[in-house]
Amino acid sequence: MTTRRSALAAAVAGLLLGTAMPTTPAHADDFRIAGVLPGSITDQAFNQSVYEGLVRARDALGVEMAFSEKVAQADQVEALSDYARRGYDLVFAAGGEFTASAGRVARRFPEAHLVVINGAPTDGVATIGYDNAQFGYILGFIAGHMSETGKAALITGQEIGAFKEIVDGYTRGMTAVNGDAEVLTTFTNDWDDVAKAKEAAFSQIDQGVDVVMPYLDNGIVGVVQAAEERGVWAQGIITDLGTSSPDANLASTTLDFGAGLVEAVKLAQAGALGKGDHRLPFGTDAGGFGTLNPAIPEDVVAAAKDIAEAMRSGTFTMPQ
Amino acid sequence: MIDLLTNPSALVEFLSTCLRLSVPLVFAALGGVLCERSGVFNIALEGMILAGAFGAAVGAFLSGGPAGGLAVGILCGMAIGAVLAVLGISLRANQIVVGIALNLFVLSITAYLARIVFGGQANTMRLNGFEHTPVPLLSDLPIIGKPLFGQDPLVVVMLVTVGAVWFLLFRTRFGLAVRAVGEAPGAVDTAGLSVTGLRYACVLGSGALAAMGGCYLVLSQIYLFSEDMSAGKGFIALAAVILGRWHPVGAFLACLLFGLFDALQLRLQFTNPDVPHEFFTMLPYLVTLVALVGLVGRPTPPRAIGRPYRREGD
Repeated sequence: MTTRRSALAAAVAGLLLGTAMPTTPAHADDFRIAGVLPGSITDQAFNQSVYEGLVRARDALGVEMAFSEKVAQADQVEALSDYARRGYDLVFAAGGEFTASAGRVARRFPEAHLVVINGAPTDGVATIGYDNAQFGYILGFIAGHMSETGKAALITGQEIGAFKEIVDGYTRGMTAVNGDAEVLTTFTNDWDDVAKAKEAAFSQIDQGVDVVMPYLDNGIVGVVQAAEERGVWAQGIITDLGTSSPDANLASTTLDFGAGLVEAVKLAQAGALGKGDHRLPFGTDAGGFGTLNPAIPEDVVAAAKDIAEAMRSGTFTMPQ
Repeated sequence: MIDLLTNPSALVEFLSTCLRLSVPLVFAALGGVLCERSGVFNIALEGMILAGAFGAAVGAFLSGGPAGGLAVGILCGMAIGAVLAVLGISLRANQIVVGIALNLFVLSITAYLARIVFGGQANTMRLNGFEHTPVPLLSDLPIIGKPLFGQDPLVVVMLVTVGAVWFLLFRTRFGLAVRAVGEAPGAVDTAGLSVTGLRYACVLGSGALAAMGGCYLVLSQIYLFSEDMSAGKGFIALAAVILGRWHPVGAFLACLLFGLFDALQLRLQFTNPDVPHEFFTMLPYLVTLVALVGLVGRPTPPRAIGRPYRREGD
């Protein structure tokens, strides 16, 4: 009876806190990882990708796993400190917006190993991320070939570092193909406001844009719907739009933050993760091409793949 | 920006965007007007919109059509209204605290239930929503025809609802009683009318109206439910209630003003990439603030607002 009651209590507590109860058997107890996520684990985007990585690490590497989702900016320090205090071996903070909080927690718990995904290099904290500009470059390169109006637009919530890098790479990629191309951006100020994201995309399309790219959470759906309804191209950078919207999807890349996370766990288990900055290039298992629309001419695909190969092997230099 | 003045089709598109951004606000603000006129604070508009959106998605998902969605959505909004009424009117809890608690509760419970009902397809499904059905004749009016009458039925329903709430509040015996109960519930009680009954009716009605804003999001705009899709609209509606001085037409105009500047800022950001985007993003809020402080003067809320009624006085 006691076990059943305490199991029930634990399940209820888990539901209330939105925290998954670790279910992995005892042998995993020696290595425990935790994830703190800003959004919902079903957003089909960044948060979901990180969550799936945590699950994959648990299943494949046999580590014990816990997570907290929808952690607001004001609660970041507390959520991270909590896992650090409880002695988790690796605490992932999902997103660059955690950088400052993670730095503070690292000073308070110097023995804790905090990993900020997409974070800016910070003392005492490991950061893993992608070479965002390379991903932007590939998508901009393809958009440059396929856009008839020479105008593409990116939509995001707030101006974060990763987005700036993407826009920078995208613009270079697009103008490398079409010197007159214009890349414009809109900020909706809300990563989840689907209706506003859709209106922002409509507004861009009305002004001659024929390739739109959302860099949002739940808001992605709104942008893709706008593209479908108006018959323009959409691009995905984190999630592959080719699976959900094959007709509107021009070209997607996938950023599999989950795979990146699993790699980080493996490194940490081997004691090789350290506390520095790790950047993954385009074209690894953790991030590369998603679905490319069959309408893209073969020579363009081939050229894009050549660029990707150069990025992967480290010989690519971004045109200025 | 010049193209709006010279190019009629750009202007029509722009006005359509304004209106689509305004509709959920208008429904919620009307709910807020009705509720607050009866003397009950309604901070829970945000939660009511979200509950309405969730109900609309579930209803449309299960029944396969928008009518079922609208019905379930309205019921969900009324359910939230019922909780607010029981706690804030009968049990005399602090209405603001109850409202905030309801917003948090709805945000979490809809996210949780949505995962159960829709599972992994939540963000990729496309529910059967309302078709775009232009109203004959009216939709052919120049400029305003298409935005107002050329979109979907809920926009027309919204226009009718603005008139209906105005008529209800200012031209019926019930409306007189509602306004009286918000100002001087003791007088209404003396006249032999039920203070509690009137307030319950208004809070439930408010839930239904705000939920229609959520129904619009799901059934006319996005065709799916996504977590937190109300995204603060209920709080803007709350400001619109004050800006509109607790008058349905005033609140309606305040929402249109907000929608107008929101649509404008999306365009301005885009056409002025050299200006920091934060300047444009704050534009609708700035205008609302300026209007609240500068144009409207001192707002005078219903006198008995937020005070649960006790017959013996307090």
